[in-house]
Amino acid sequence: MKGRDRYSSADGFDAGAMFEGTDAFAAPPERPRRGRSIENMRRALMRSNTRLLLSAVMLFQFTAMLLVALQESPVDMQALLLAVCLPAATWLTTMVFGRLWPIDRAILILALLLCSVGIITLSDIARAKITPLTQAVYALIGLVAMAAGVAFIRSVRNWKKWILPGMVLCLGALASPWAFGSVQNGARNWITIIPDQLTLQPSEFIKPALILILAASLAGRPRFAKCLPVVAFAAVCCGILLIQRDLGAVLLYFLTTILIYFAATSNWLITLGGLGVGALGSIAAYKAFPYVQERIAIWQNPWSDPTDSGGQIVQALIAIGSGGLFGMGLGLGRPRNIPLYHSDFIFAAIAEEFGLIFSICLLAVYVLIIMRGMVVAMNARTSFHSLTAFGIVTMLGLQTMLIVGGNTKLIPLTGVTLPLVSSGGSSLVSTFLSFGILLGISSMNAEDEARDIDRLELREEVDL
Amino acid sequence: MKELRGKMRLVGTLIVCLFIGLGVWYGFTVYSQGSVWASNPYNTRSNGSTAHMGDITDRDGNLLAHTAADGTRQYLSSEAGRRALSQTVGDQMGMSGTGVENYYSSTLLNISGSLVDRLRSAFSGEERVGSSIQLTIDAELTAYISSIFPEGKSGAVCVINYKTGEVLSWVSKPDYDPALLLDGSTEGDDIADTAFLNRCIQGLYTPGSTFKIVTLAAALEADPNVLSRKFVCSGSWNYEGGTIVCAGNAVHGEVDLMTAFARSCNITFGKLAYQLGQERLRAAAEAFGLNENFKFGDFMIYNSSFPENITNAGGLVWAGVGQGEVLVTPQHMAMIAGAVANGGAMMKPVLIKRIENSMGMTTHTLQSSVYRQVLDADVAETIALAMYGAVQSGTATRAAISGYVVCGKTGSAETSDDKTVPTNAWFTGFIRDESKPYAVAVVVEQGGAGSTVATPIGRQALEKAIEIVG
Amino acid sequence: MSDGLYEILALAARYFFAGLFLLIVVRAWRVTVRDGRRARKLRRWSPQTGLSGELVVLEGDGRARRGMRYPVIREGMLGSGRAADIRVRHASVRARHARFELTPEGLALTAVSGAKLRDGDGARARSLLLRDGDDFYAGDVLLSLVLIDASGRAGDYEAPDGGLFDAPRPAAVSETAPEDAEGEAPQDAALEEDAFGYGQGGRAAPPRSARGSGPGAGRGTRAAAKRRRAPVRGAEDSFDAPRFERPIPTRDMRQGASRPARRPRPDDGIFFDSGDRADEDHF
Repeated sequence: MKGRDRYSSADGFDAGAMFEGTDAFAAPPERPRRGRSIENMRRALMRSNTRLLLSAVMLFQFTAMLLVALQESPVDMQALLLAVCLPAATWLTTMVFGRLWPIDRAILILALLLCSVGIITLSDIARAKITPLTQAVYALIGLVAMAAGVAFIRSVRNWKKWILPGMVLCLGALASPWAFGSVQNGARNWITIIPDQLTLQPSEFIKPALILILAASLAGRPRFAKCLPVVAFAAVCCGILLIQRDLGAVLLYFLTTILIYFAATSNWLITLGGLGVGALGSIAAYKAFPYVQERIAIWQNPWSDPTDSGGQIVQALIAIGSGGLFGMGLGLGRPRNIPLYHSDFIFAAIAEEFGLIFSICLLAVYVLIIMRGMVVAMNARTSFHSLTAFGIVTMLGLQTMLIVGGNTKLIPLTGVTLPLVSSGGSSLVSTFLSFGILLGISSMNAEDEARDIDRLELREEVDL
Repeated sequence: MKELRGKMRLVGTLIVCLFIGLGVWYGFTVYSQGSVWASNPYNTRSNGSTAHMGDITDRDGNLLAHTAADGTRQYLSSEAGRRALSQTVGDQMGMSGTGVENYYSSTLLNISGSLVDRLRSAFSGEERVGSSIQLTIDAELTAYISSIFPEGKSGAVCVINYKTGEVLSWVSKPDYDPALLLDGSTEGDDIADTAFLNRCIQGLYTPGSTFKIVTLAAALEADPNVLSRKFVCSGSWNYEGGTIVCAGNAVHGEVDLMTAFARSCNITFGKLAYQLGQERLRAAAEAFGLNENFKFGDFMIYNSSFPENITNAGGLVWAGVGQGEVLVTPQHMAMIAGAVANGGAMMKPVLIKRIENSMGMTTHTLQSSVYRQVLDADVAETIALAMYGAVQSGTATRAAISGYVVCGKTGSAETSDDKTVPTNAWFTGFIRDESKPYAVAVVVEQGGAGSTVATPIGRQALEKAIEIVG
Repeated sequence: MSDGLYEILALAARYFFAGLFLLIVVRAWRVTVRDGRRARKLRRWSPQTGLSGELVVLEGDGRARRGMRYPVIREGMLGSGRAADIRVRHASVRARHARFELTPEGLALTAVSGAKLRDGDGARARSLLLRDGDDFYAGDVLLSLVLIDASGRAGDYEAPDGGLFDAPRPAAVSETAPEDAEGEAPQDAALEEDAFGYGQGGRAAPPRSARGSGPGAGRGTRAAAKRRRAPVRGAEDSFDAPRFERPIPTRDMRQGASRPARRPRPDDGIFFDSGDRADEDHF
């Protein structure tokens, strides 16, 4: 049976028109059976088979870690252990999460792939053997956080109630580095729990909270007056981060807020106005803060000072150039030349060891996650869930673009990390949490779609 | 919700497009700039020493770099010789990124390519021996030029064979002794900061009056009768927004173009540039290879540039005499002179004469090819005549060699507004002889006048080349 | 492992990793494209999101005639514009007329400032809370709400004569349904609901009666059916029998245990196919 079911159109279905001009007592035209179409619809609901993808990912993880393990003369036991654990953990997580909830498995597999690329690269290039192990432990914590995220978003019903407490919590967390924080890498936004062992970056955890608060406040398309409190809250957050010298986070928060606001209210005027304010603000920051000026100067011509301040980006570019098309080979490069190779410049290190093709494919993985995430956002049932998924995906995309652009001298360097790949416990755990929320929304979508089909089936049996 | 979906679709498409743009930009940049980045002097990657590094020899077979039986790397025995060739040959630390030891390390160590080779050597247990490279460089010539270069000054000298494109000599000052770097330390006793830079290919200089070759070419192509025109040089000429004067406040009076070229009259060529306009001048410069992304197979060279958009008369006038934002490398300048000498055909520069692998098989020989036909043959002839005039009766008289026809052009490039800073001394020229087709470019930073400082160096280089290059 | 051998291995592995990663990306891309194609096919048959009920026009004209039905989703915009989720094309309805949102208490309608919204009695209202069976005026169009999982008890509504809808009277269904449907009793017991009153989805058994006979004009959900009269004679016998297998959940039933939404069973083919049928598209 071809053609659209007229019932599906929002324009409404005119029952009366069907019978105009006909004898009301005559038998109406026979409508063909559509029992089979329900079956087809169910099949349409099924997601594609992700087994091949999972196997390919597990193969990659195993072979790469094996190669790393073979680097040392007596085989590196830790790397060998990881070579077995990574694929096992990936498989286990996908199975468990997939059985518990009808999540979008492809997103999960791609996220685990990114995380494992990070662990593999760190195992290869990190100076201390402990670093990849720490990363793996944080990843495990992240998986727990992901499960918590899924459970959380599936259970929350009355989100409006949590806006105000959420705002207070966020502001408190952002301000906490002033109370008992420390300066690291020029930015004062870390809190030390165990000195030299465990440091947290609260601004990372505020990211999903900010998105949830924004989505809860802006769901349902409120008028401008009602939006003001949350916009003010976002502005205060940006201000605090600006003072703490975390330029990357400021940019990220600001752009994400603007985009979520735009999606929620479709108000071009205010959005463009907000962007304009942001542009003015950044010019003002450039004039006011010397460290901003430094960053811009180094970005424009790093070759002028290749040993000192420009050293980071110069070494990163050299590394990327040395990589060529296929890379220098795992373990054959010298990525430790790049300062901060494990966090800010991990993309350059990956480009050096794995090559241009690999790093472009890495970008493609992010693009695929974003595309699937957008689909999840568009299929969400309520505007709150829709905006939350949208915000998570947007923030992921913006963060990736900022850091890759900074690595390749497209834009000045900002302090953000490559999501899921860079080393950094707080960033990893909070990104996994965001992914959990995204997967939770995708599972709710799948359940609702199944419900829809049930209802349609019911209608079918009444012989429409 | 439909509105929401529509907006999200919009933003999503925007983000995906930005990503694709980022990916394309990234791929393109790495493709075009990757090798430039990798040969940056600060690239300290030295590929491991699991193989026996092959030899580097000059065109006559002299060993420039050799790995002894005990594994140490040996260079020329004389320190002067080592220093002269330091940036060309390179060093074990990779401090000179463009040096052959670094740039061709994969060939010398036989790393790239033959995986089968490596497998075979790994299984048979014999040590992997890299290929040997024979350069087109003449070591004796290089050592000589290095010795006559003014003490204490920085600069570069390039000597090429304009018929085949071979690079005969690269001298870049300041230099260093690669033997000092063998023990792994980069701290020499007193290695100058920029000693690792090969100024012949990595030094971008303002060409000064040597650029008048290009202006002359542009004028000849725009107006074939320009040779019969008369120009008046009264010592200074006012254009909108400034004045141009001749070097040394000379007044040349009424001159024709040939004389003006020989005497290096700024006012004539400034007026010429002004009349030609930036379109024609830039077109001529780009025909010569400025603004081009050079991708020669044998070595990496920085790109010369001519300003894209000149907004005022002053910029145009001074660009015509090689000042302003015009930048050229010495190697490129030698190639320009070579193109004039070679009937307008600029040959592709080559550094590698032959590569021989560990089993004695030649895997690469040099191929001469025309990089581009820069000028028509008759235009090239006219310019050559003008350059001959400069040597006969103009500013380049110190370049004359008895028994040979030498053509040349001098230049004194201002590098700062401060009049007390000496100009960069330039000379570029060639020998018109089928059997001795040599061209040279000399630049001495803050050396003073081109005619007195750079020209004698050029002449001596050419003389030596005639004498010893086989 | 010796350095030399490792170098060879690592250099060969470069191509392997690049190829494998490329394979992963291509596979993920194809999975995404395939999912998109399926989703589009699904959209052809069902409205975009969460079908929760429908609005039926009781009074109207032009393109919003009596009898027209609009599917209601969980949250969206009612209006006459193209961007509206419920597109009532009538002159008195603005492009963006009112926002609606499904809450546990019913459908919450909030008029956009200036838009005319009246409740079933004609009184102007800024926002309305509708339960199953309630009417309201959007502009000059009288619409009646029908919810699939009726929150709120439906009143006894009788359509005016001359209507074209056939459905058993409310009384007939609610009385006969439990009796006729003996075999269905186990199904009632199996009925589970979550806090929103969504029933346990499961494959309903094929209806035992009123199949294919009579005028097939009985569109709509079972809630609609229970409220509309059958105007066509000659098929009265078909309306004694229940048209729907599942009884309308009553308040008593709803106050049972509130269980969470159904979890997919491990062998539940609804979410993930087993591979061989993955590529069939039979539409």
